[in-house]
Amino acid sequence: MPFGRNPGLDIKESSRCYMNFSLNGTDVSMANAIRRTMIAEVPTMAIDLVTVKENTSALHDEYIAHRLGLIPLYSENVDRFDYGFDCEKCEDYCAYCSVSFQIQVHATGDTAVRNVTSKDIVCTNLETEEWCHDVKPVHDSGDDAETGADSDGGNGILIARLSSSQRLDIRCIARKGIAKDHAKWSPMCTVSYRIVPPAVELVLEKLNSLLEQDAKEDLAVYSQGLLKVTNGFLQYEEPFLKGRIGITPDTTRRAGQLATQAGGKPSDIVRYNPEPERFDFTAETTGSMTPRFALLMALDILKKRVDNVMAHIH
Amino acid sequence: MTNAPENYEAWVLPDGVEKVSYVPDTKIENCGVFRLEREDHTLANLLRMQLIRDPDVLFVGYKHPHPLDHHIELRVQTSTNTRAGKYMPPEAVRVALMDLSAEISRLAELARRSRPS
Ligand SMILES: [Zn+2]
Repeated sequence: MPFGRNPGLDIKESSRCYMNFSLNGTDVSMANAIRRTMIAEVPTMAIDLVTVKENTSALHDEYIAHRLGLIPLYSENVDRFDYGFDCEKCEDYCAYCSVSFQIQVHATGDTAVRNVTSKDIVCTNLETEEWCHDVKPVHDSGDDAETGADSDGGNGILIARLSSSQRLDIRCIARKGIAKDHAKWSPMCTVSYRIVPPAVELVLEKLNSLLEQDAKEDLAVYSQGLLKVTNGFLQYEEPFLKGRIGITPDTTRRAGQLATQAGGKPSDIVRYNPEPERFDFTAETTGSMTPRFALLMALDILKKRVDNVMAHIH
Repeated sequence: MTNAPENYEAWVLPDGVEKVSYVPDTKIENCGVFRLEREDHTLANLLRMQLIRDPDVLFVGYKHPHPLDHHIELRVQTSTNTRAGKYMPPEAVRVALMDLSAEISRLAELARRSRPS
């Protein structure tokens, strides 16, 4: 490996919908490739074809179909399915490339409102097609992620509300897909990373010794929540220390101007860190798989991608 | 019903299309453009940054010509006097891909082994 690196990866925290990990010994292109692959190229199952047999609810068919598509389906066995467009076992859809569901709700009695939720989505595949039965709707939006409760603990995701005597009878086909096709197939809600240390940092010791009191306050106001003046000293605000905000070019420019006016050099008050030491990732899923599973799949997909191009270079 | 292209055409290689094609530059020695079909910034930027690490690569850049085109163009120029002898762009790209593949394997292994404390 002539120009290879020896990267590190450390999962700090991992639960059903949430994960924290850090990546080191590599560069931004790798961090970004992992992020992009997790978001757009990890396949999941999602409802893709909806047949409405009866709908007397207040919502029109297309609106309900769209809502159904966005309901996450538990997809950790997605590799057992083929993509619909290259399934060799069928023309349209079958148990090897899709999962069938139905929703049949009739609001009877005097109850004012009957909520139709993800819990009303019932799998209609045969008993023998047991792999299809693992693809179940997720009933929460990660509310229980912290307690580690499984997704049945939630109230279900609301699809429509029926009033007395309204009826819904819908057949759904869930297919395998990736988010490059439609965002409903993305397993991820969020994947983001923070570069540590930040590319640009202010040298606060230098600024503090250089600037007059009013210049410090000027800079604190100008920085819009990045800096504060405590006991006559400039300090970073909490959001910056927690990595929620960064240093804007405007702030660095202003700091440079004030430093020049005070007889310093702009180059003394900024520190540039060209080599990121590590990337702190935060990843959250919709519940269709654990973030750890999505990361493992993303790395496998990325590797296959690289190997595939390598095989075609002549 | 419509002539809209299928969504999957953005990421599935159509029949009869070459995954990678290489066109050598007619004016500059050891230089050429790779056309990577059905690839995007994910791989292109990864490859570009890896090729920059190679001291015998003089130039590397890529473009994604249009949002409705699903390929990228990677231009690579290598040094004409290397210690190892002849070193053409396809060789440089192959080396870069090998390094990337090894790095990703290592990351996958670490992710598999890593358990939150
Ligand atoms: Zn099929």
